[in-house]
Amino acid sequence: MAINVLIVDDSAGTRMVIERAIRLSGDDIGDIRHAANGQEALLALREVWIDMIFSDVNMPVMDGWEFIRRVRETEIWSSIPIAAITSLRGEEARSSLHDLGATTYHSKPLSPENIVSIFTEMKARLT
Amino acid sequence: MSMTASDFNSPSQFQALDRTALLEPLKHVFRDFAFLDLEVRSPTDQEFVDWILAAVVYCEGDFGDGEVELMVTPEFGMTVARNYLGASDLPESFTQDILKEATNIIAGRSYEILKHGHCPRNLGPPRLLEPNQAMTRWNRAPSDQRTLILADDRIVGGLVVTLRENME
Repeated sequence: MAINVLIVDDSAGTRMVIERAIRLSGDDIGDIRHAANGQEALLALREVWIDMIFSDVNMPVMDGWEFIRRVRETEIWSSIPIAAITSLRGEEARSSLHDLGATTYHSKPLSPENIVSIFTEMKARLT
Repeated sequence: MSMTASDFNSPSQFQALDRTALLEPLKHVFRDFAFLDLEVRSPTDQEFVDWILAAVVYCEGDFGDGEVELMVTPEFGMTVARNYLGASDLPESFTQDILKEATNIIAGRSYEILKHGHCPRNLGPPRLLEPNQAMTRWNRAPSDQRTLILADDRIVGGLVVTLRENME
């Protein structure tokens, strides 16, 4: 079954890089939705079923912290795997995002190989 | 909260940071981000720079706050964007977008390095600077807060890192 992915990042270029790497993964990819912040991402989640989320953390309007919190508070979305992607590298950020409900945590910049690896890891968590 | 370069002009507000600690990680960021091998060093008084593209990110955390500004020539900005996106024909808006993304990454890394592993609580979002704003910030910043970025011995960019201690 095709996998629908939501990419949340205020950088259009980074969304493009992530989408291209996912499409080159060789997997059956369905819809790839883009959102520039958490608010747009919540709207996208209401429009179509999303199987996994790649989300930036530092964004205007609604940041990744608030977005992940809201996703995890909503029952039907609570088990969607979320890869949190951030410019921060420290253990503090990793721990906080894990506590919030992020499935995995990764530091920018991500290479295409990193992105495919994250995608594969999250795909393994799909039920 | 936003600040201007003049807010950072008092040396007494700064902790004694080893800014040379930023140089190697900065090179790594460009290598990872845009597959570029660059040189970074402190500027001398004689060097003329003329920044056209610039972005700034405000950082705030329990161990202080400040700003990180990345300034580049148009050609270098385009090279970074092309390499990051893997595309040769890009509209200018993508160059600006990628410059902001690079500044955000460098800001997060700079804070963590200079604050010994502590992350900023708030980072960004990055915003573009007008060329005259960029030049003013560069010229006003103390020399130990400025770093030049070079490719093939040519100056292609500059970085201003102004992080101050939490005074509380």
